Formats: sequence, structure tokens, C-alpha cells
Amino acid sequence: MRKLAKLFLGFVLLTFSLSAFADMNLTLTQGISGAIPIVINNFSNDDQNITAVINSDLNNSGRFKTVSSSGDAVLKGSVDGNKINFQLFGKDNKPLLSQTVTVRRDNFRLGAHNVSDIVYQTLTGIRGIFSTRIAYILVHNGRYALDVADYDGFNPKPILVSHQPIMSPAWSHDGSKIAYVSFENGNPEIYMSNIASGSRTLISHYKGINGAPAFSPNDRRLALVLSRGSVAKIYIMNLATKALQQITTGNAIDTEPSFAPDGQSILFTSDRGGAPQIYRDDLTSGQVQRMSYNGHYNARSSFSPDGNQIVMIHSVGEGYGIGLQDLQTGAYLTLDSTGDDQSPSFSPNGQMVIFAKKTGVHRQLALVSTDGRIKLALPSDVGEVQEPVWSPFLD
Amino acid sequence: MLKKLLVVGAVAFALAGCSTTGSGADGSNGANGSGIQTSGLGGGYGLTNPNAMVPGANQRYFFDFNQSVVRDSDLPSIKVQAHYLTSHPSATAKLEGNTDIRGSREYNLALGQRRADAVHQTLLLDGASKSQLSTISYGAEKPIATGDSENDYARNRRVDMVYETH
Repeated sequence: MRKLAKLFLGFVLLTFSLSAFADMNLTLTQGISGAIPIVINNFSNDDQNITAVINSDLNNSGRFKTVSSSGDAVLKGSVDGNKINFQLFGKDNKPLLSQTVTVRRDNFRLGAHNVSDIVYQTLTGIRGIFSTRIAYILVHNGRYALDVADYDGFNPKPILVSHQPIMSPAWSHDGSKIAYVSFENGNPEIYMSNIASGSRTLISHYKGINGAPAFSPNDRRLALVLSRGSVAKIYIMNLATKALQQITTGNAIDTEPSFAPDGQSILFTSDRGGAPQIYRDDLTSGQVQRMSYNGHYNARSSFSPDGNQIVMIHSVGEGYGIGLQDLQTGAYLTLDSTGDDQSPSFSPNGQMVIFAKKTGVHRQLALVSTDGRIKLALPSDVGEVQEPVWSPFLD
Repeated sequence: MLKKLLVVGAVAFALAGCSTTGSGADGSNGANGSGIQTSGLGGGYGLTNPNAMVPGANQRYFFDFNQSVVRDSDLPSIKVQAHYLTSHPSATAKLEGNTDIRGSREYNLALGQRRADAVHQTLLLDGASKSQLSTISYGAEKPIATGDSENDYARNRRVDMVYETH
């Protein structure tokens, strides 16, 4: 009997996982003229297509352009069992780097991404994001899946599949957990899944809305939104004790909390001024300051990893785009404005923003550099792809 | 009209009741060392019932963009529902708030709740009892129109009043 039940569960999982992910293919749609020309020689003994992965990574970054000769840099390498040995040379064959990456668990794509990270950092001075991941919601045939995939859409794996909506995935800062909203019991409730083990915990199921989870920088607290029979308000939960602290009050909608990197303040969306705009709450003093003044609708904001910029959904009246505000200069930049953009999320190195946009009839993922010059599409072969969130750096 | 809806509803909810057993809060398993595992919901996926009760014309109330004020034109319909509830004290209904599919999903979830609350408040003022009503927001997650016209957006900005059976 027990065996039968197990077998049945296995069957359910299998049928659900078959179409619970999409094949996606990252494509550079707009590059820059100043891209660094780099020669990538085919790695010797490369029966795992490592060279091709590194090629895609560096081209897709927009900062590099692979050329067959006369590059500013040359990359050579070889594969030896689970070791990838590689050497990077600058102009006039000046040796810059000679290193070995060990491939873990036969994940040669990840090994190749590790090489790309090192090459990218050596030549740009900025840490690469090629071995990071993204999480997103895939909606297909009335089925909702919370998927985790490599940054380039490869290796998608469902964390959760449901016939009821799943919303608002949020990574813990240590990269081990994802909190999200699930309607599986009727009401929107907050759960937390351990990515490696798949085990999960019900975090919040108060009456009404349980939404918009966001981890504090040390992952010990979770900002969230509860309506508790009234309007949506922001709370912070101590994850060890489940104790709640109410952060905002009043009759307006307050939602979408997002911690500053130092944990001292949160950004949130509120319509206390009549329409949704971005505000900042200093958690020590309780003082609230309006942050967005550009446009009639600003929402879903989050800080860049260095805390100097915020990204948001932005509208001036017709359609929704992605906006970036520099907190030091006050400068505002529209990164994308195709009419129905949603859910912007910074890459962990602060160089790119991933978001969902409507292309034709489908919602798909797109990436844009924070200077707006580099654009990529990450189209899916099936379904609607929603609410992408970029992982932190994963070691 | 109302009677018929209730009967249809009875079947739909009976079916749903059978199928939504156990939420399986601890999905688990599959340690194949790849780093990411699938977490299942156990057997409790719930049934998507094509015959689920569809609100009648006087049980669906539309809203202006980013607004949660009940329209004057909907007040007579809401009064009819309040009257039904007061004359049927054992009847209960759920108010489901929805928004159009654009903009922020979490803001929309909060906006849908405020719309459901606005209809809730109107029903109470018209004499319905608090114990007969519940609210939920689906935000932008359950659109009835998926197109990109203003008409599609407008159709999604709604509260559905759905009678429950016991």
C-alpha cells in the first residue's frame, strides 16, 4: 500500500515536471560598438562543448566580441577529465592568466561559466554573472511552475508546480532558499523552499493577502505584506521566532518591500499620494521619504547590489517600462519601454537587469544593461514567463 | 437565474472538495545530486473545473483603472444580492477581486483586495451580514481577457461575487 502511494506520487511528479519548464535561448539583440575583441581558440579535448559556452557567455555579455584574429585578448585552453585548464593573453601575447577550473558533478556547462566569469573579471574588473541562476514563474496550459534555471535559461528545473497561481519569488541572499506566494490552498500564502533539498515550509497564512516576501541581507528576517482583513501593509517577520513587526500604517496600499543592502531601510510601493510611487522607510527612525517623482506610476522597486541605484516598473501614462534611478545624482533613465514590462531584477554584479516583457502575445524574459546600451532576449518556446528574479552570486 | 447558478455551484464545489485533499506542505525528494530538486505538492494539486460557477451579470462589478470605488451603475445589482443574502441567512458568498494584467503584480494583488473590500462594504451597508461574506484577491493572476486592448484590460478590472454551497 505504502509502495503504491509512493509510486503514484512519483508518477504525478513525473507528469508534472515534463512540461514544467521551457526551453529558452539567450540572444543578444543590441550590442555596443566598444565591445572588446577577443579570440577564443577551440579548447583541446573539448568533447563537452566548453568553448561554445564560453563563446556565448562573452558575446552575450555585450562587453566582448569574439573575433578570429587581431583581438585585444586571446583565450586558449584544454580539458583534462574534470579539469579545465585555460590561459588568457593580452595584446602582444602578454600572459595575463593561467588557471584551472575543476568541474563538479559533471556539470561542464557550469565549469565553462566559471571560466567565463574569470575571463570577464580579468578583462573588465567586474565580477561575472555567468555561473548565477534565475528563478521565474512559467504559466503554461493553466499550470504554474516556479522554475530555477542557469542565467542563460539552460537547465530549467521546477521547484514547485501547481494549478493555482504562484507569485513573487524571492532569493535568500545565501542563494539556498526561495520564498514565494502560492494560492494552492485558496488564499495567497507565503512559502519557503530549500532549493537543494526541495523541502519547504509554510511561512505566513494570515487572513487575506500574504504577499511580496523579501529577505533581509542576513536572511534572518523576511519583509512581507499582510492585509489581515484590511488594506495591504508591510511587516517584517523574524524567521526564527515568526514574530511580526508592523512597519507601515494608514489607509493606503503599501506593498513590495525590498531591503537596502545595509538592511537599515526598505523601499516599498505605496499609493498614499493617489497613485503608486516608490517610498523609503528608515527602519531605525521610522521616517518615510518619497523616492520617485518621475511618471504617474512607479512600482516593484529594488536596490542595486551597491545600493546606489533603484530599478522599478515605470509609466508616464501609456504603457509600462523599466526605469532606473541613480540615488546619488538623481538621474533617471528609462531602460526599456515596450508597453507592458514587469518585474525588474538586478544581476548580482549590478551590471544588468532582467525583467518580463510582452513580445507579441507572450510574456517573455529580457535583459538590459544598466546603461541601457546592451539588450538581450531570453525567449521561451512555450507559455508565459513571469517575474524573473536573479540569484545572488553562488559559490 | 440565481437558483440555477447556485445549483451549478453545488456541483462544482462538491467536485473541488473531493480533489483538494492535503496540500502536502513538504514536497521533498529526488536527491540525485544535481543541486536542484523538484518539490511536488503531493497529491493535492486541485482540480481545474471547467464547470466552475461563473458569476451572472449582476454578480460581476467593474472598476476604473487603478480605482476601487464601486460604480453607481452597479449599486442596484449589489442591492439585489444584499437582499438575497438577508432573505437567505444561511447563504454565503465570496468576493473575488481582480485587476488588469499590466503593471506590478503585488500592487495589483493589493488593489484587487481593496476592490473586493469595497463591494463587501457596500453589501454590508445594504444589510448583508458580515458572516455571510468573505473576500479574496487574485490580483492580475486570473484574467478573463488576455488580449491587449483597453477593452480587455477593462474586463479584467472586476469583482466577482461567487455564492458558496455547504
